[in-house]
Amino acid sequence: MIDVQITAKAFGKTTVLQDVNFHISHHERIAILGPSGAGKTTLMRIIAGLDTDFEGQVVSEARIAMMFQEPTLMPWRSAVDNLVLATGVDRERAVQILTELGLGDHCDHFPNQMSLGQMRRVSLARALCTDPDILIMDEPFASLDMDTGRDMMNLVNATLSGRKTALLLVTHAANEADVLTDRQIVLGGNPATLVSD
Amino acid sequence: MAQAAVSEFQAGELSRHVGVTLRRVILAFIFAMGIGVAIGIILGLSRRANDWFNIWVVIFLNLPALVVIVLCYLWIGLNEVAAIVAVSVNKIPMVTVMIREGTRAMDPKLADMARIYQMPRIAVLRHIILPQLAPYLASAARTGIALIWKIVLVVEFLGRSDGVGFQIHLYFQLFDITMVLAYAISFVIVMLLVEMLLIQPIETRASRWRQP
Repeated sequence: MIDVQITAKAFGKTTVLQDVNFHISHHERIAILGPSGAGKTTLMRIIAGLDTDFEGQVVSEARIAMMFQEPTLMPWRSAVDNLVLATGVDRERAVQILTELGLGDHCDHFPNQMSLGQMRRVSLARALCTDPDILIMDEPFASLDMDTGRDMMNLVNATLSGRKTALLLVTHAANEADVLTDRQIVLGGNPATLVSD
Repeated sequence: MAQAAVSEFQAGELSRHVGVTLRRVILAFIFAMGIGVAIGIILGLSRRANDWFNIWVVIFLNLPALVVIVLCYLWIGLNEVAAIVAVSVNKIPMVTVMIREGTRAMDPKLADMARIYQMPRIAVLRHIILPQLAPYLASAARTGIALIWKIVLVVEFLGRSDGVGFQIHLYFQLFDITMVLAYAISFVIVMLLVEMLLIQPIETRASRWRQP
């Protein structure tokens, strides 16, 4: 589904990724692990097509959706509008998926009227309502307290298990990778390369 | 002074001249905001465009209003088009700079989100760019109105045969302080009404989402 062949990625004269090659198949659940600053987010941005300034190629036939580190919602729009305007889905479908994620009562709430955990769920709903082939999540449980993080992780797990969506989880927490994924790619070194797959 | 203003109003002169000036203010405002916002967004988004255009922004920002007005009258003629262009050219660089800074301050993560979900360009402009620019637009509009009505009066003073500026010029030559104040204060009242009845409600509506 997605073939990643990165020869090198540099910021100025600093090379951050080198010889990172792997393949993502349909329905696969993969975690990209590594210490802070290892280039995980950079790799994720390249795979998502947000960064095209690198040596190599990413061949993708997949419809990609993404959950960023921050919820990245339009603060001037309600939860349901954030889904409708960003993805083009109809309102009924947006309400349905928000309800599925436990936000049925918050459809018309603005982001500043919701907690961080709720905003993350809106972000997840936005990603899922496009019926993506792959969902890329960039440290989606960061900044959440332990209980909310665990609840969110269980919600993601339960939501994805009913779908054929592949998962690419960028994290530095091994327990998140253990719960949500069945393949783990570890980045390490300087510049970062694949340490294990 | 109030008596003079009432007398001019009853004669129909005050409303006619205030109306003419107000029309020029509105036209120049629309022209300046439209062009200034478009150039500002382009310069904010494109480093190359900014490198090329920045020097012209600086030149027009520092060009004295009087020079622009006189040159417009000389090149275009003593007509309405020259008056509107002169006022607009004085205001466009300020709008451009404000909107350029606002565009640069936009949240890049929202732009990433729009790219990921392949939002159409018009939707990005309407739902991502313009809401983030709203405070800068409000600022540019408020300072724009303030500057434009001052320059409109100078433009009328120098080269038009109607409007509040022309009347002030006329009564200045007659050394009639009462009438100068009657026209000036009447116009200030009109601009205050525009601020309170138009600009403030629009600003409140645009920033409604900030309320918890």
